[in-house]
Amino acid sequence: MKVKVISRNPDDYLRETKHDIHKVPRNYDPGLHPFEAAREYTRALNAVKLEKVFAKPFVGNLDGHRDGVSCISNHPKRLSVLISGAYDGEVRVWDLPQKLCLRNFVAHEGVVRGVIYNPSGNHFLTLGDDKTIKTWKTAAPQFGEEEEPVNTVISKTVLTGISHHVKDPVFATCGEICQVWEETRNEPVRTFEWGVDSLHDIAFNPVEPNLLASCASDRSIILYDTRDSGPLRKVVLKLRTNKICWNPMEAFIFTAANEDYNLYTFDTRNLKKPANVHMDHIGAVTYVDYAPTGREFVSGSYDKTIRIFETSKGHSREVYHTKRMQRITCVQWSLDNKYILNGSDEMNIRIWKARASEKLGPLKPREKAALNYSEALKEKYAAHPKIRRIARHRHVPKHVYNAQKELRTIRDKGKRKDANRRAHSKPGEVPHQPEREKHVLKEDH
Amino acid sequence: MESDTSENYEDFYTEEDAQKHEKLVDKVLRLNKTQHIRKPSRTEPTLQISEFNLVKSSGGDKGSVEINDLTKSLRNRKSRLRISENVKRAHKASHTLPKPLEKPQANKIRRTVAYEKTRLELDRWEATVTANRVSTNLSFPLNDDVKMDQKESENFASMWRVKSKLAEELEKHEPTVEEYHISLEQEEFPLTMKEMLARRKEAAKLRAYQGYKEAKARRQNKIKSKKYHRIQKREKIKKKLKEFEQLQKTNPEEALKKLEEIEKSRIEERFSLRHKSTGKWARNQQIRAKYDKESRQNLAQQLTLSRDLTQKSKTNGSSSEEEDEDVEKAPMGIDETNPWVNGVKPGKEVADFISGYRKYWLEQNKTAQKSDAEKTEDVLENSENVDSNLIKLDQPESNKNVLLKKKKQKVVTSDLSFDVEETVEKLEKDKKVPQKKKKQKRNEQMNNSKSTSEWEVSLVENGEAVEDMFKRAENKLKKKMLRNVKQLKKKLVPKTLAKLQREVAKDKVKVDLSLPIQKKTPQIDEALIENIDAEIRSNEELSNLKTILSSQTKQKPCDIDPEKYLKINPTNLATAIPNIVTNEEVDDQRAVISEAFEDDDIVDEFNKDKSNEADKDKPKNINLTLPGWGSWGGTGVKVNKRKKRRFTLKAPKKIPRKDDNKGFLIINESAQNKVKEHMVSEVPFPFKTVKDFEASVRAPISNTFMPETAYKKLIKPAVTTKMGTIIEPMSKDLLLNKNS
Repeated sequence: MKVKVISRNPDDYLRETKHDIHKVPRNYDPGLHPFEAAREYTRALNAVKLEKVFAKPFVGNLDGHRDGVSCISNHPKRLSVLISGAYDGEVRVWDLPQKLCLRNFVAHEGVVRGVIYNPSGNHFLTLGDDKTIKTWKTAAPQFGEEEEPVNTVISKTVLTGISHHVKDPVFATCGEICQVWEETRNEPVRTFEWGVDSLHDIAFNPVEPNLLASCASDRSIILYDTRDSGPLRKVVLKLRTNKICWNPMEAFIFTAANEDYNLYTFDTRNLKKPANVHMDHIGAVTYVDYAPTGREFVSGSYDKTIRIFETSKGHSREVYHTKRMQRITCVQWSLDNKYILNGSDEMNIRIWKARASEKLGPLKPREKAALNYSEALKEKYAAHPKIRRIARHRHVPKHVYNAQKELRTIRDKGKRKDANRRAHSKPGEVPHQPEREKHVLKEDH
Repeated sequence: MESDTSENYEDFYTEEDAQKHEKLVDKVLRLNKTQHIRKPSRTEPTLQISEFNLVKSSGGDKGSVEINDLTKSLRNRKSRLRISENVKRAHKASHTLPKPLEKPQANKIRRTVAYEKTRLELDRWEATVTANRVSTNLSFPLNDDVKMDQKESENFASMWRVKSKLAEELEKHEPTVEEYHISLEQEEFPLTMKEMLARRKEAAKLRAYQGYKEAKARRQNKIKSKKYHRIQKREKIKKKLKEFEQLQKTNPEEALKKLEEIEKSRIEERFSLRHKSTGKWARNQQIRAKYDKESRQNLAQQLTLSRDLTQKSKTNGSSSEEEDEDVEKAPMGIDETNPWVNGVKPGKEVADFISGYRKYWLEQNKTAQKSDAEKTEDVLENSENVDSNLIKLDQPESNKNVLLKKKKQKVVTSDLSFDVEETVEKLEKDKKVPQKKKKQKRNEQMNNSKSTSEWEVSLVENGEAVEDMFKRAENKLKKKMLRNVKQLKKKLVPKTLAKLQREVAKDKVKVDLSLPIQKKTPQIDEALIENIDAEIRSNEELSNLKTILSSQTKQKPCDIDPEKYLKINPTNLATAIPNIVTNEEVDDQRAVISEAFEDDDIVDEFNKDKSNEADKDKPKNINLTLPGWGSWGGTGVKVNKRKKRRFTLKAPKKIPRKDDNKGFLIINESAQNKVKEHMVSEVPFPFKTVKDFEASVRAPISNTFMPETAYKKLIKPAVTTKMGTIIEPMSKDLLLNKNS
């Protein structure tokens, strides 16, 4: 005779210690859970609402400068140190977690055009309107000691921008011409000239460090090779490019912040048209910086807002602004991918969270799992109108709103006109021009 | 001498004097009215030398010293004569270098080349970048694990071993030091002297070989002998054929491909003008043909070639006996095909010559056939002991007279033509005919008729039937082969097509590493919905009304409602009784029904209900008058009628409804409003069908509905970072293909 007995493994329902959570056996048969989708949808809706509730991106500000902040730079080895230069020639070193100014001194006569740490972080270089490049020690001077640069190089030409090699003691400056310097020498190692227009920004490629990009006042972006060949190629856009930044994870991608309110992401191997056009700003974009993950970048604009873009998308995912923040002069993404720092015209440096509703500090595993889950839910239901509306709703200042409205009407007008012309001319006469092909004027060899 | 004095002279001068002197010279020069262009002179050593200020030489062109002048002085001594000769030779052999390009142009070229180089260099990153872009979860910093993983592998095996007591004791005395080996390029041993020498030797050998090859190729290119080239060509063809046959056996796919290639080249040749006898060479031959025998032969050969080429490949198999004979024999059978006969009638001498030639060849042929037959008989005698069924393969019914037929199927390509000599040679060589036949058979099964020289042994009664039989057999064979080929092709073509497409795609995009998206989630790339606080939260009713007003259709509702009267359709019953219904009867029925329901009018009642429902949904007039605004207010004060009229927003009288023309149907339009706002109106980006999207939404991810492991996988974030860790830019360690 066969006797059937219910036998269960105690491991399935008993917990090992009393600190464990009770094991609840669960039947995952989808037939038993007819409201799976509905329940998850509700959870997603709640998650997205909570995200909005917790979205408080502003962390703090560093005040102390007596003039607008012109440039800031991260320490390459330490997350807590920031250095900033101002329009009055003053340079300040900040302790970020404590929001304290550790050191301040006047480095240049006139505007400080660039500040940058060397790769080891022992020294930093400043560059000013007085045509000098000064090297300073990171360590603060002892009591009684004067603030003195370790080295001062007087340049023959005007200097407007500086960029340091990722590893080697080599840096590049731009101004009238593009120059490559070695830290130990007082004369430029190499100079590159192509055309007569002055350059206002320069950037070393962090992945392929022999590549340099600079933007000139003739609306062009010029690529250089520092090894031997010099200039490589030039792209001329419709308006001037203010700032260039290379993607730290994708060797051939760089993004240009343009005067025409847009940002253009280029693939170095195909400069005929940008790989992506990022719109949303309503003023000239003055600064751009990539997240160290290479997935996103942050841009600062003359319209007093900071926007965060995903590299693959044409529209921003986030916009930051405060009432008192004026024109943005510089933005930096912190090297741990957590914060965004920006300097603006009104003498303050602001610290923001890179993800507005992220919880800072260490998380417990369950908390982390819950956050991940809600993140996954939001991603899954992103297309649903309710969730989309909540997730993408942002409050913007009136001037931005109005300017945006105006811009929209202008764009619509252009589109309507094109459509009309197309409708009333021979088919094929007025071809449809994709947005990406509108902005590059020419590619010079 | 002069320079010496001037130097001395200068010494005496002070700077002022020099200036004065210069001025004086200037003035003197100005007296003479012609303007002198002064020669540029270099005064100070500078870093940058302008190309415009280069001084050519002190004496101009006349004063320049040439190398010959210098060697002249060497002639005096015999021992130095050789030097001067060498110099002269070198001088003769050397060429003046071309003038360098203009600077902008040269720069442009340099830039383009450099850019291309950089582009290739950057291409190396493509794989890494694509992998990162596609991966569903990345953990930064990326470089960390690369450095770490090498340490463990060292002691990994020893971790599992049970240590003996002795070993433990030993360990106590001599604690092991953990060794981390990170292989760096610098650590690798450099080559020893010997190895280096060996390597250099090897390289030198290689270079010498290359040089030898080059020299040979150059030499061969210069050879003009036609015979040489013909032999070479033949050899090449033989080699190719052999390879092809080998391929047929080992790799039919490849063989088919090759065959296609051959076919293609044939087609190309067909539509090219080669062998059309229109070229310069052909014209020359034409002129010479009248007197020269050889050129006539050449022409004829050429013509046969062209004919072969211009025929479609399918007709190839049926090539006549004539064609299989050597090209040299071709002229004898030309009569109808000879273009020179067609267009221009040949002179008498030519005709005579041809007839003579023909006679000669007929005789020759006869003798050749005889000898062939003898030979084959011999061969067959030799091979009598071989299986008879092998011989029966083709013609099993006949075994009386043995007649050997030489058959050669025309080869597809132009250059694959064979001589009789060769075939005869084969015959002589091959005493094992049956074996050969077997082999051939196999070949045929595998491939089509386009193979080369083939032999068929047939046993026939009389000469006339031979040809018939032969033809029949041939047809049979051909059909079979064609079928086989078709089948093979059917199997192969889709594959090859796909391959081709892939290749084309490769050509188009240099690096195409596009991977399918691993995790599909809706991608929303649109502007943020940006609002200002002060924006009026518009009255919903009002906005509704406005939208309705703007979109109101001008369509006029029908005045006459045809549904007002109950319609009764006559139903025909399936009976055998003739269906004779008069109008009167129907009217009677209607009257009866109306009589029965005289009191309750259903139709009217329903219509009333419907209109009520419609009224409920209808927007109402909105009164926006503010009492007391611009007039007295308070209790008992009536609002001005005009004002009331002015400030009421009037609702449209008639709003189109879904059930307007639906008869006995009321549709509740507001019923699904609550759900509607949660529903997706269009399929989001990476999804292509509604089904796909629905499936993605339907699959749950929470641990309420999924096992824990699956849940953990599903909720993994796209990017994870370590707290407080600096993420450095990508380094070359991560490059997937470092060497290329």
